[in-house]
Parts: sequence; structure tokens; C-alpha cells
Amino acid sequence: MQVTICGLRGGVGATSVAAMLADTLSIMGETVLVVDLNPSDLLRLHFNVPYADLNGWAFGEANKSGWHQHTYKVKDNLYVLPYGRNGVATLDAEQLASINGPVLWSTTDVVAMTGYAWVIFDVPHDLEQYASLRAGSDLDFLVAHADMASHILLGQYPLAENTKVLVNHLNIKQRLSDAVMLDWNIRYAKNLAPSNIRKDLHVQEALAHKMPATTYFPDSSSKRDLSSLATWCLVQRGTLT
Amino acid sequence: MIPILLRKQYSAARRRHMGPITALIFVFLRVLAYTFLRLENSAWQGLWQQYEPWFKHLTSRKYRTADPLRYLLQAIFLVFVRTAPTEKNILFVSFKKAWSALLDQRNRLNKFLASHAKPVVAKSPLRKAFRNPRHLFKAIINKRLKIFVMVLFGTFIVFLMMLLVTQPFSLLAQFVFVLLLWAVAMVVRRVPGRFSSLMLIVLSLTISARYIWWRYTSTLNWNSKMDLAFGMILLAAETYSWIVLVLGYIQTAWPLNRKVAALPQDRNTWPTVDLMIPTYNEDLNVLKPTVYAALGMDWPTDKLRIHILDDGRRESVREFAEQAGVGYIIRANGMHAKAGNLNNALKETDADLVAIFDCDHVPSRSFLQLTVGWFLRDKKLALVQTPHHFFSPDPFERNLNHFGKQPNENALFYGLIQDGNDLWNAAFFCGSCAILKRSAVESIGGFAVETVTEDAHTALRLHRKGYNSAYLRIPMAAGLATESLSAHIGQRIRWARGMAQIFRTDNPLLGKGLGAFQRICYLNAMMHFLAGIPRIIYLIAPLAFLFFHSYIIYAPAIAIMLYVLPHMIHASLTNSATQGAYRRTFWGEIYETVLSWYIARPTTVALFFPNKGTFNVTAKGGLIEEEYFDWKMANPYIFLALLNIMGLWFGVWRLWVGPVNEQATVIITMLWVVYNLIVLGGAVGVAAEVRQTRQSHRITTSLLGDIIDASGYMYSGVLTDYSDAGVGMKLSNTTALKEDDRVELVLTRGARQFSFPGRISRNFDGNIGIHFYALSQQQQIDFVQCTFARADAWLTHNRDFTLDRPMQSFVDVLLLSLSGYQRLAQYLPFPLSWLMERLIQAVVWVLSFLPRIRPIVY
Repeated sequence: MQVTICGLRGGVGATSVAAMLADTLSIMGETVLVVDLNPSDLLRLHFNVPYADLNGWAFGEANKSGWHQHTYKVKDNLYVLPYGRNGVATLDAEQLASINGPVLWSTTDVVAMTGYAWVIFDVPHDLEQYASLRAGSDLDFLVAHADMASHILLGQYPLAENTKVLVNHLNIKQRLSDAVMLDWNIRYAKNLAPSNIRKDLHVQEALAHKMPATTYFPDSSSKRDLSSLATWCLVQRGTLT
Repeated sequence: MIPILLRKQYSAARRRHMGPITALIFVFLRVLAYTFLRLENSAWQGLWQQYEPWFKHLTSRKYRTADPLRYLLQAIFLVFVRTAPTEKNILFVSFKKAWSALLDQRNRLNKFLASHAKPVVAKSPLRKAFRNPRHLFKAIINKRLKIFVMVLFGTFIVFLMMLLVTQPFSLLAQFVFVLLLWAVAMVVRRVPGRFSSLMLIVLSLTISARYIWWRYTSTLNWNSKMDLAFGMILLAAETYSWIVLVLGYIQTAWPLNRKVAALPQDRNTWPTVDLMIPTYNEDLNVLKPTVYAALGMDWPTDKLRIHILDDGRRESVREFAEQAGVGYIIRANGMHAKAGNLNNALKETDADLVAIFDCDHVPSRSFLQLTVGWFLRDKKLALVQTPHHFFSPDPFERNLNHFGKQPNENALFYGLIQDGNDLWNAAFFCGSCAILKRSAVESIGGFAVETVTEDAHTALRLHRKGYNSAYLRIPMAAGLATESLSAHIGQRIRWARGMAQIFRTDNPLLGKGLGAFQRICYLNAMMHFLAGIPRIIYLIAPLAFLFFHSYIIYAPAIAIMLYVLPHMIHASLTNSATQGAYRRTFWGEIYETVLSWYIARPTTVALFFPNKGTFNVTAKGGLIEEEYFDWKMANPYIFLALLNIMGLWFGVWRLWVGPVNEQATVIITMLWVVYNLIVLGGAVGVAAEVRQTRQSHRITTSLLGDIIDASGYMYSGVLTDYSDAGVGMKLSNTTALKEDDRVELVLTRGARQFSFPGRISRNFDGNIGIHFYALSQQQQIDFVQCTFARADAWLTHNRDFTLDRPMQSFVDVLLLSLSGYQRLAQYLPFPLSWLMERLIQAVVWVLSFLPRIRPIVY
């Protein structure tokens, strides 16, 4: 299964969601590869992969060592492929020009090549070239906040058939978000992910510990939310193990 | 070295509460034993290991003064009395082998029956007709058999039955006969499915009919006027019970188990509904959750109108109705109580359907969607009734402490009887948790006002008018049970009186419009409430023999055993098979006994003067602040128990001095008295009111929930219980939470989530309590809808019930009865209570010397 996760705008927490979903699926016994397509290269920090390591798929592509070599094994069944921001910084202009993520990832059938049950892409929200990668995914999550800015942006957003709007940072106490959710439930009924992720400070604190909250705070509500999202993903594949 | 060991031994002995001297002697003996006997070697150790379980009751508790004697007695028992199952005792071994082989065979047979017999029922050609049982007879008559074949067949069967019932048997023949029937029953009862219960019913009917025939033809002593008088009284009571038994079998033989009828997709075709909440003097806190839950009912908003019918005409209720945005209907006078209140509201509203909820019955959101479908499917349908479920313990459950462990008193009615009634289109209206068709109710002139049980009478009139009724056995509302025994009895007196009134003024056996089986169902419902006098007769009948030497059953003891016991055993077996899930065997005796004295008079009065009597509102939602013994309620039973104890003394005396040929009869009668005492003990136990101090009842549940602490961390947990004032939660990690912290509880309802502010009131072992803190009205509404009004809120209430096992149930009732007497002793006035306590202690002390006849193994 190929999953793409993309923010509706910056700062909605798409990278944390990608990290936590990958982690939850691996806890459920699936083999998972999570790929960071963001040049900011933050995903690695969720899995305690330091910037000092220059590795990353972009770096590998540029120096012709191939992206395979740059995969980190976090657990027996969880693999992380960072962007390699600091590695890229060491390159010259010619090498830089050879990095073309959108072409690379939309033409490579990673699932078939690697044999991982799940490949999760953390897609940058501001690079429209990844549209074809997202369109080819089995599941495409568009992460949004249930607030007015997201409401307006979402209204102008071309939602594809396979795109599910996933609400992150849902604040239960706010009447506004409840109202937005009620509206979206009707407006985007088919395109709304069945569960959402509630606002939980555990997620932020977990990043300070360089771990996904789903592992570092197993009693947190975000763990419960991600578990139900991951279960839904498994159901989408058609096999629940 | 040795002094340390000795000191260790000594302190160990002291720890087991031995006195200093005893401990010294103990240590000394121990040292002595070790010196001469080498207790540490394997032979001694093996011996101890083998026999230790026999002494566990002594070794596992603290040392008591006379324990050496107890050890000695136990040892003597083990050495001299117990026949060890050694190979020397061939007879014993072979018997045991044969017995276990028999049990094995029975288990295999049961398994075989369970695995093979079911499809036979499923494949039966009548199956299709059974699936729609209302048309069962029609289907049989129209499609399969000509009427005259039926008549012929029926006559033949009736003839055979008559022969079977009236044929006099010798004692031996009767013995063989009952043994055979019992064997068949024992085999059949393990077979799953309805065939087996029908079979059991047939067996029980046969035995019981033979019994009652025998009682009428050969057990009355026409030579003695006193014998005849007492015998006739008892026989009348037995005839009543026999009729109720037979009618009960008819009523419950085939519960319909009606399923939900789906509503059409097009919401425009859904009817409009007036949801009425009649109230009189109940507290606003009782009313609020009901209204809040009604506001959340799944139904198009423009088609649902909620009304509070306030017969108390209270300003506070009016204000509340306005705030909550629901209708408020009052009337000038309080004529005809609840029925009058509803009739007045009928005039002021106009929706197609009328749903009625007592103000303490919190409806679940699914109520309308699950019930209304039947109105669209069946145009003649006037009523859909659903069960009354209670989330607080009734007096029986509270005082006998079995809330949530086994079915309560009204489980039989709502679990089985109503479902059985439904087959015959005779499901009753029960006053609440029901929905009626307005046009039907108006066509009979509104709710019946003539009796104090307007509900049953209204249903009777609807049936007479040709309307249908339905019963849906899904608990979709829950309320408060009556708070005290006296209130409970008061409620039952009202029902009993009302039923007797209907029996007189609008007898279901007479008049037009009812089918034969409808008449039977109504008749049985009314007969049920006449049980008071027969029950009292049973409780004192044996005394007629013991006190006055009157032969109330004029037959030899052996014949009595051969007729009475099979009759009772078969009735118990059959009832256990058909209603075991809704009422434990023997528990009905207690329920009936408690009510008997109090309903005896009102029902009799109502039978003769049906127009007497007033309506009393059942008090609910109250507290019992101190434990007390309800002497007023228990007095009749204490009196009856004393009579029976006297009877027992007379029995002993007559065994001592009476003629030998009477002894068997005396013993049988004494057994009867003992049984009466057991039942009365249970009734007395109910009168000891256990404290009930919580204003809000905690409802145990298992729901997902989350809490957010003050700094924004959110924890997932499980909601373990809730009330309208707070909740209990189980979290896997509560270290970060402190008492008095402010938190937000998050609950889910459908796709929406709601948060409720509260404070942590306790934090212990992963369980936290949250007390709500300034909930707004909207939050109160949301909370009720997230908890009480959930569609699945009451579906699993019987999750923890165990299966009914008649013998186990009898043991339970026995223990209950003993504890009833013990509690009675506790509450006696001072010198008596002291005396009783000492007496009980003395008995327990003497019993403690008895050696254990079985080893204790875990």
C-alpha cells in the first residue's frame, strides 16, 4: 500500500502524522517504509536520526549512490528514508540539478521494488509537482486543521477521489471546530477521513524526545487516534491482521 | 543458633494469635516431636502433604482456643471414619466407576443431542409458519391440513390425554411412570431449541394434570368435616396454582422475539411524534435527564415535539421547559391522575404517534427509529411497547445484594411474558417506554380512566377494538427502580388492585373483540395478582396437620411423595428451561411471598368493590440514609415464620409421642414446614433495608473516553461508570494527575466529540473519579446524550448473569434465608438480639468442631 500524506498548508502537522502513522502500523506488525520528501528534512528527527548523518534520498540521488543505501532501519519492521538536507548542502550546483523527486518517486514502484507492505510519503504541501505521485497512491491524506483558514483553503482545493481530508489538532473544547467539523461532515462527506487526530500536547513533547508519541506516550489519546486511523488503513487494504 | 530458631518458632506461633503460654507449649511440643520423630524425613513430609488439605480450614486461619480438639477430631475422622477409596473396597470402587461412566455417557448424549437435534427443528415443515407465528394456525389450516383432520386429530389427542390423566395407577406403576417421564425430561432439557421446551411443557402438563386429578379424586377425606374443610381450602389454592401454571405455559411457550422493522428511506413518509413526559411531584433532577435525552432522539426535528405534562403545575418545571425549548402542558384539575393527564395532552397535540415516557425513564436516541417502523408495516397496529429497564437496584436487588448478577423481579415479565403475549397479539401497554397511534387511542375514547392501572386497561380496549399491539424486547429506556420495600409493595398493590378492578369491570373472558388466546393472556396477567391468598394458604396449610391433626391430603405418605414431588420437579425443570434466563428457580417463591400478604386484601376488596381505591404515585429517586429493618413490612412474615417454627416443635413432639404409622406423614409435613421457613426467611431478609446514600446512581459501563489535563495533555482511558454528577475512569497511567486538578472529560457521540469540565475527586490504582464542575445546560444535554441516551446503553445489562441451575439456585435461596434470619436477629430489641447473637455464635462454635468430610484443594 502506498500512502501519501500532505498538508493543506504549512504547519498542520503532516510530518508528525506521517511519523505516527508509520510507527503505529509497525506496532501492528506491518513492515513500513516512511519517506520524507520535504527539503526541511524534519521527519528524521521523529526517529532520532541526527542531521549530522548526511544520508538521505536526495543526497543519494545526487551523488549516484542510489536512495536504497540511505534507508535507516529504526525497528525490525520500520524503515525511514530521510531527505538528506545536510548532505545536499555539501553538493555543487550540477549535482543539485540532478535531484528530481517528483519524477523519481512517481516513476518508481517502491512497494514492488522493496517489498514493504506500506510505503508512506511525507509530501511537501508547496510542491505541486508531486500531484501525480499523490494521484497514484492507494491512500492520500490531506492534513488540515478544523479552523477558518483551512476551511477557506479547502474550499478552493481540488480534491481528488482518493484524497481523504484528515483533521489534525482537533480542539474538542472549541465550538468553532465543532461547527467546522459538522459542516465538513456534510460538505466533504466522501472525502473526509473517518477518524481525526485530536489536539494533544503529547505529540509536541514526543518530538522533544525524538520519538513518535505513539511509542513514547502509549497512554496518550494521540496513540488511540492513530490506532483507529491505522486500523482503518488496514481495512482499506482489505486485510485486517 | 538454636535459641534463634526457637525464638523464630515462638514468634511465628504468636503471629498466629496464640497466647504466650500456648505458644510456649506449641514450641515445646514441636521440639519434642522433632527430637523423637524425625519429622523432616520424606515419609513424614509425604504424609503431611497428603493430609494437609484436610486440615486447611484450621491451618489457614488464626489459632483459636479449642483448635487442638479440632485437629484431634479431624484426625480421628480421617483414621477411623473415612473409608478411603482403596482397592480393598471393591464395591465402592466399582460403584464410583459406574457412576463416572454414567456421567460420561450423559455428557456424550448431551453433546450428541446438542449437535444433532437442532437441525431437526430447523428443517421442520412448520418452520416457515413459525417464522411468522401470528399466522401459524392460519397457515396450518389453510395450506397443510383440512379442518376436520385437525378436529379428528385433536379429539384423539384429547382422548388419549384424558386416559393418561385419569387412569389410576398402583403405587408401583405410578413410580415407574414418573421415573420414565423424569428420565425423558432430564434428557430433553439439554437439547437446545424450542422443541425441547415444548416437550418439557407437555411432560409437565401430563404429570401436573395427573396430580390435580389424583388430588380431586382420592385425597379428600369426606368422613371428617374438619379434614374436608381444610383439604378443600388447600385444594382450591392448588387448583389456582395449577391453572396459573397451565396458562403460563400457554403464554410463554413460544416467545415471538419480534425484530425491528426498518423505516423507509424517504423521511417524508415518517410520521410525526408527540413525546409526552407526564410528571406529578418528581424532583426536577429526575426529570431533567429524561428531557435532555428526548431532545437528542434520532428523528427529523420538525416531526418530533416534546411535551412535559406537569400535573403538579410547578413554576420551576415551567421555567425549565422554556429553557430547554420543550412544550409544557398543564390542566385545571388533577382528575384521573396519569390517564387524565395524558388525555388532556391528547387534546392539545396532534401528531400521528404518541410516545410516552415516565419522567424517570431516560430514553435512548434510537427509540423512535426502532419502534416506528412497525406502525408503517402494520396499519392496524396501535401500540409498540418496550421493556422497562432500571439502572438502580430495586429493594430486592439492593437488600439481597444481587444487582447486576442475576435477573431481577420484572425481568420475567419484560423478558419472556410480554414476548409470549406478543405471539398471541396480546402485548400489554405498560404505561411508559411505549409508543401509541393517536387515532387508535382516540377511537377508544382516550386512555382508560376507570381503573388505577390505566395502561393495561387501555391495551385491553385497543385489542377489543381490533387493533394490534407489538412488543420489542430491546431495552431503550432506563429509569430508577422503587427506592424502598414499602414503596415497591405500594406499587404492586396498585397494580394488583387495578388488575382486579379490570377483571370485575371489563372482564377479558367476556365481551366482544378478543381472540381466545388474547383472553388467556389477559386472564393470566390478572390471575397472577390474585396469588396472595393461595400463597398464604401454602404457608400455613401444613400447620393444620401438625396442630389440629387434620388430614388435609388424605393419602399415604408414599403416595403423596409419588404425586407431589414429580409435579414440583417437572414444573421447576420446565420453568428453568423456559424462563431460567429471566427468573431463577425458587426466586419467584420469595417475590410472591413478600407480596402475598399485602396484595391479598386489596385484590379481594377490589374483586368485590371494584370502584374503591385511589391512585398513588410511586416514590422514586430517594435516599435511605440509615440501615433499618422495616418491621412494619416484615411483621406478617415474622408471624408466619413463628407459626411455622411452632409447627416444627409440634412435629417433633408428635414424632416422639405419636403413633408409628403416622411418622412418615409427620416427616413429610415437617419438610414442607422447613421449605416454608426457607421462603419466609428470604422474605424477612428483604425487609432489612440496606443503606443507599448516593443521590446519583452510578451506572457501570465500558466506554472509550479521554481526558485533557490543565496543560493540554490528553490521555486515553475507559469510562467505567457514570452518573449525572460525575464519572469514573480507568487510565493506564495516572501519575501525572492529582486530586482536585481541573480536567476535561472527552466523550464521543457518533462523529461528534464533547468535552465536560470537572475536577479529579479521587485517584487510586489507575482509577480516577471526576466530579463535574459548572456544566452549562448545553453540556448537561450533551452529557446525557453521550451516556444515558446511547442506543446501546442498556443492551449488555445481563452480561454478567450466570446460567440458571435449579439446585444451585436452591442453595442460594437457602443461604439467603439463613442470612435473612440472621439479620432479623441483629435488629431485634436489645436483650433478644444479644441472646440471638450468642445463640448463633454457639451454633457456629459447635459446628466448627465437625471434621471436614472433603479435603480443601484450590
